[in-house]
Amino acid sequence: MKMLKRVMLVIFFLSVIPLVMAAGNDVQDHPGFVDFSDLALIANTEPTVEISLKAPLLNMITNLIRNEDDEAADFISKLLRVTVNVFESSALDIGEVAGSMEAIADDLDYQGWERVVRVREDDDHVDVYFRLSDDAEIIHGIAIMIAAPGETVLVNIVGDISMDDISALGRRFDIDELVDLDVN
Amino acid sequence: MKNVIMLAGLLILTSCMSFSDKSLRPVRDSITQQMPEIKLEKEFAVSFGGGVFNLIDVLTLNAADVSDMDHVQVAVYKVSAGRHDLDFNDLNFEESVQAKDGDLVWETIVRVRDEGEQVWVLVGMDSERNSLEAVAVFVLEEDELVLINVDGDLDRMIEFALRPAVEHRGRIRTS
Repeated sequence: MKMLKRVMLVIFFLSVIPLVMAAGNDVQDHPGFVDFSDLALIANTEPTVEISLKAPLLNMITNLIRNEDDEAADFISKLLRVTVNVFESSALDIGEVAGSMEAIADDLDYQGWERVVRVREDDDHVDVYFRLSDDAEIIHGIAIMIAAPGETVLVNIVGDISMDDISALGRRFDIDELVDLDVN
Repeated sequence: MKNVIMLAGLLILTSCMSFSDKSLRPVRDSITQQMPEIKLEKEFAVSFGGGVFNLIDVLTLNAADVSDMDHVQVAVYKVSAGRHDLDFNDLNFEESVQAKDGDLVWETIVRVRDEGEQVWVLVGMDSERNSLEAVAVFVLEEDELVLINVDGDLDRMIEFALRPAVEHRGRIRTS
């Protein structure tokens, strides 16, 4: 009986591990995923703050706020992963980080991401990119890169968000820029 | 009458409260198993059970609304690493809390590395009920590790916490 239990356990784990691995890989294969690891390496330090919200928790948040705010819940339900990395260090070489950001931005341009915001002011660099579906109806991903002296912020939101969801969110929170957002 | 009420309150408190780190020992043991070069020595521990939160709700006339919490456990350990450097970067805290609540799916949602202080925030989810069941916080400051674990029906608490934000929506204006 003990032996049977062990065999069942092994079979269970063998069947679960690929599912867990696949769940992780799914997001990395998603068109909205951005690999910021090169930039993290350039920063040459560990992130000061790392926030990582994955699908199970996002689903839970969706259920929690459904009764309070249906439109916000709809928006969050479309998200697959939200990642925020903040690097804070006086040793950060803004020139080097900005150069690496430029390389990632070029890569995103090449992959067909839409540049929504670009700011180059003194030592501040901001890039915001959207990855749209072929018919431009769905946003698969949002990438935000901010580099300033002593601080670098990298944000990647992966999901399948419709422009209607963004507009609804803008209406809900009274943010006109989101209501009128047009990336076409 | 006052004395009876105080005595009753004291009895409830003592029955639902302890100064042992027993409930967090599986987490502590998992940490030391992963990092055999360190020692964790208990400095302080306190654990509150559901009765305390019911009492708080009664005393605050439900304004606090904490009765959905089952336990709050806090333990402070002194970390000694001998000649080794204290490097918790490779430590898998998800595995450590799994040792305590194996039925839950644990996920690290926040990791902070500040000068002299590191923080990990993990959430424990019941994938079948699709609910948030526990939150664990680890704070490493100098040679002190603080473990905080909160479990219970956290869904209702989050709903309660979100309510003011929802009521204030529409006030955000972009300049």
